[in-house]
Amino acid sequence: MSGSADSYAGSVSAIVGRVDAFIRGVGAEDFCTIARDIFRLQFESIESYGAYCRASGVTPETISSWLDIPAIPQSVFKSAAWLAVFPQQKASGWFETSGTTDGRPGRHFYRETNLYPTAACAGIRHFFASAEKEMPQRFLFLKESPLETPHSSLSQMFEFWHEAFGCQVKGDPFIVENGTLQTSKMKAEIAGCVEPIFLAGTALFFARLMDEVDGSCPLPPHSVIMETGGFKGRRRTISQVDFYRRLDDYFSPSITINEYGMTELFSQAYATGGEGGHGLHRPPPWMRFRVRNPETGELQEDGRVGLIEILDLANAETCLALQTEDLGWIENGLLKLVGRNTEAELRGCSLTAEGCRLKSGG
Amino acid sequence: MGRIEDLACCLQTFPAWESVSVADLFGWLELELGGSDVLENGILKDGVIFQPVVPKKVVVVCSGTHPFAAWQALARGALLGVSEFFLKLPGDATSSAAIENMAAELKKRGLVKSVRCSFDISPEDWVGAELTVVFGSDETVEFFRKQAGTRFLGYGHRASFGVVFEEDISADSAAAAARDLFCDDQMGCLSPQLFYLVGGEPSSCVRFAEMLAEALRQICAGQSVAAHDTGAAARVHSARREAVFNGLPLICSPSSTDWTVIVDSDSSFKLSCGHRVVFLKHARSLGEVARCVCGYKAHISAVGMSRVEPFDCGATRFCRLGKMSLPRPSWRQDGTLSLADWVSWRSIELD
Repeated sequence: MSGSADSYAGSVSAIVGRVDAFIRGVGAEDFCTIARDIFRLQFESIESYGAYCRASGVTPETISSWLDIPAIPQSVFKSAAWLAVFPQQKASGWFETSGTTDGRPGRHFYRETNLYPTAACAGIRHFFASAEKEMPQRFLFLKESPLETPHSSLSQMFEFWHEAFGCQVKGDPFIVENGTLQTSKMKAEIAGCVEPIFLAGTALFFARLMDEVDGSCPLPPHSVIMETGGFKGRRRTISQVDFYRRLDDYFSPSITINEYGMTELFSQAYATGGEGGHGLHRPPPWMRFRVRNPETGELQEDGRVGLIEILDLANAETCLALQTEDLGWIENGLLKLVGRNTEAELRGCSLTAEGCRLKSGG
Repeated sequence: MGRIEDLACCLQTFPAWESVSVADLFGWLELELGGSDVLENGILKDGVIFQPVVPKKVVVVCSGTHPFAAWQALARGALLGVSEFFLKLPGDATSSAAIENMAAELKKRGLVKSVRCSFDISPEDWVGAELTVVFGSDETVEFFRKQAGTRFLGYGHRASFGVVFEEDISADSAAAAARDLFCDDQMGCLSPQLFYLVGGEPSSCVRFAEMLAEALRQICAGQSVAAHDTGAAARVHSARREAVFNGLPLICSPSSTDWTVIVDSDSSFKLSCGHRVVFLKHARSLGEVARCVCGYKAHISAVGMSRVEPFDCGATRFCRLGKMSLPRPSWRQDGTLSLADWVSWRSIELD
């Protein structure tokens, strides 16, 4: 390895180390300093991102704050562009989006040293600490295990949680196998349990479970439900208010929370549910939201709806700033999600990429 | 005034059909059913009278963002003499109002006896229905196919594109292309997703992009263009940023999402997000265009061309640029018969 490659690798690992310390709450660095250094690293080492920034008139020399760092459109992850500071042969795996555009899922590559386990575990711990709630240590996941779905970032996150917080509990916490809910297994787990349960999964699996198993399935006291994913891209839709009411009636949890995360990011934000669905999403300290007016391209003031962009320091090696396909507004750093920009898409009989892919079998 | 004359007058009050004449409507009947008086007298052939049997009640489901599909269904039904319609309206308020407007006009003129319009549909709405016609996504069509319990016509996912021959590049062809983009905010199945510049050098795309941008600019200067809602604006913004990321030359309306022209050196077929975001791609010949769209062949609806030259690409309609979203009433959507599919036939053997 050449000297410059050594120094490059050194700078990557140094930044990863600084982010790791920031996430763990040790060290005295601030978000903006680390964000600027990550931006410089990604600008210099991810060719396509560097070109994109230059085309946008932004360089490490021109930015004055984290708000100036150009965000990559989420759809770009579905292209062939390489979006990591390390070469492809150094990748140890990838996570894949479930949605499709132009017949190609998005891929988020990572390597062994990635910050996902650290960020995923610290993130949920941070949320419970902020909400002043106890986090249950016994997990059940309405999701396939990472062995079955190795490219699912959500399955992987659940596995991280189980290993970090719930490993003292024997048994497999994943209760979906080959797309089928193992309802008897889940009922047996719940029936025999007196300690609080953390039941987490996708909204679609929660909805299926409540459809398939009549009656109710009350969880032990102080249990928590975490749902994620919504009903995007599915025929079935249910209002958030109705969904949360149904979850309450069916499981009687102590609290219901919503996770806002995506395959392209290693960190997540959480919101507590209530009568009217979920509230504002709180990011962990190493993740920040901003909202852009799509008509003018300018950043929006607090309280004004726009296109959500996220800066996630845990993405030090891949994509620090992401422009999502979601709409929302910000209030004191917290995020109110109001929908996806694809949700309003009523194209009549016009072709959608999804529809075409389904029909063509591509 | 006869029924057909009255229907022609009624249709003329709707965009795209201003020039529809009585002769057009009789011609349409003759083309599809074998005679202009076939509804009254049937067709006599070899000692057999073939009589078309028109469904008395038709259920129409429209889930798009523009009223044209419902208008078409109403026009077809009114021409045939369908007496009762149930119309499931789309969620879009403007489109629904336009549909209800035509329904009311037909009823006022006595061209249909009953039209009920509703945003919801329940099993009771099918009582007495003999035909269900659905316009929407493939998933919507399949969903209603299972519900209907009547004869069924479904029109699902489709996409269209334009072709401009290198020798036809001009301000006029750009203006026509711009008109196609403005129809239905480029969200219909007949709206061009992209334009292929055929022949010459790839640089012709840049030349046409500048002309198209100018034509779009002029349309915006000459009429008030409603601002996109936040969701639509977000889709346009994302498409522009993606183009910048991919290093594609882009010309767009400043400080608004009114229009966006992207020159794409990759000639493969690509869907736009709509809202007047269009890709310009180069192809050496129509044969190359056909190869580029072959993966979408089963989904291609119309090809708008600077000079109409049909070619094998799966399209069921070829038309001039500027007319893409304005098909004639007799348009054979998805390549199927527009009136004949609505009727069944009764044979009366005279000998």
